[in-house]
Amino acid sequence: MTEHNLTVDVYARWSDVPPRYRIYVDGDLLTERDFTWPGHDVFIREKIIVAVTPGNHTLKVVQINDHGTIRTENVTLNGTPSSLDFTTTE
Amino acid sequence: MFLTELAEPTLLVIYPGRFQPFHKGHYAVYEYLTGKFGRNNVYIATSNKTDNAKSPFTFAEKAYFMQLTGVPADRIVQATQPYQIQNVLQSGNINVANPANTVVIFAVSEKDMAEDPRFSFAPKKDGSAPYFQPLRDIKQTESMDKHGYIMTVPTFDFTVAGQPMRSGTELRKLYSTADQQERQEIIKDLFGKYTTEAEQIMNNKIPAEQAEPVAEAISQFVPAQKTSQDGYYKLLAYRYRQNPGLLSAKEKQELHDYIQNLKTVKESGGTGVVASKKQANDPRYSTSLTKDVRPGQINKSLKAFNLAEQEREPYQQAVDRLTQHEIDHLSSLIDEIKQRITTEKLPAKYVEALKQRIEKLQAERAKLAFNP
Repeated sequence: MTEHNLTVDVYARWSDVPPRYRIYVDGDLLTERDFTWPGHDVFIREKIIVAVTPGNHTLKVVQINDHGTIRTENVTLNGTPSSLDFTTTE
Repeated sequence: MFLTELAEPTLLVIYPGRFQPFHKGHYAVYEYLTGKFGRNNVYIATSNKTDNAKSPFTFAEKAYFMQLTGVPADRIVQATQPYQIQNVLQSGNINVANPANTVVIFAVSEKDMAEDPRFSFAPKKDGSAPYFQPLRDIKQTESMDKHGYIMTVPTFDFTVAGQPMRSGTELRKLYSTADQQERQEIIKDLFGKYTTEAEQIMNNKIPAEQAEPVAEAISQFVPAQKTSQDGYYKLLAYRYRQNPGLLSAKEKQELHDYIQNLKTVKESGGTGVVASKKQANDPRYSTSLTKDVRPGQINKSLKAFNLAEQEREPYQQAVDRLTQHEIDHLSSLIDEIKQRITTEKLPAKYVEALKQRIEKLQAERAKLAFNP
């Protein structure tokens, strides 16, 4: 397995209660966060080091409450633009 | 020759500016001027000069915005130097039949008057009056070949997206941080109506601000071994427990690597948020920004959300298995060596070396077996 650097920017829009989201890689739960920052123009940059075999993998950012909305932008794999479904090589 | 002496004097009012972009505050000034001097006498002059940040819009784009607000196309003049009358006239849009019979007035905002040294009206070095003069009494003006007059016009306050807006700089900042819906509202507020062309121009010239992240959250992912692989290694382990001799050297090595890897997986957990120096004192970092999964919680969460194909082997169990595997491996090596000593006719010095090797292996095994 080779290590790869994955990043994704998570934005949120909310008013009273912040949205809560979880991050999964290939169905494995990595973390759960509350997005407590106000304003739609700020974001959390999730930096995920993935040690995976070459092939297709999936990153999922899933909101788990009904407060506000989240969206993801600017996914990169090893510094180059990618998508939530990403492919790794050696 | 004063205006009062001119035969049918003509009035020419120029409203010059950068207009980055033109907006309804500018349009209010234009309306003010046309109300005062007549629609046919007022022109807006602007250049095609652009730079990336402060002046992103070309003349054509500015002219589009002007017409969107309601300025007639034939009242818009392109001039490289909009404050110079000769340069404005070179555009060809304005027809001045007799300069000696025409008075020119430049409309300048209070803000520009305060900031631009061109409008100090101080006498020249030779003591003569400069070309531009303040407009005090229109009846006491001279023709455009002698002087141009500066008229101060008020700045009209207005709101965009509910926020008071006084300058293009403020507006560009607001637009760059707005989302799509807000941008459409801004365009309506700016020009009185929304068009997709206006949005395209604005989006091209005022890109979304590249915000810095408020937090950088670092997580590490090392996947668990797949169920099918688990089954294979469990079978190897079963066979090994029955009789180590049933496994080939390659299979033994595979099993060893698998157990080592299990250990690695369990030790690589952990996520967190790295705050910058500026962010370090922010209570949101120490309170509710992050609710990371704690070590050991992954298995519980996977099970709770029905995401796990098979529950992973607990860490301590894997370590115990690794330890037992290594003890067994050392025992088999010791047995092999003992067998060689008894069955093979080896030179005495080799036998001695092998016995020393046995002692070392036994010491290693004793160390592993010690479990306080």
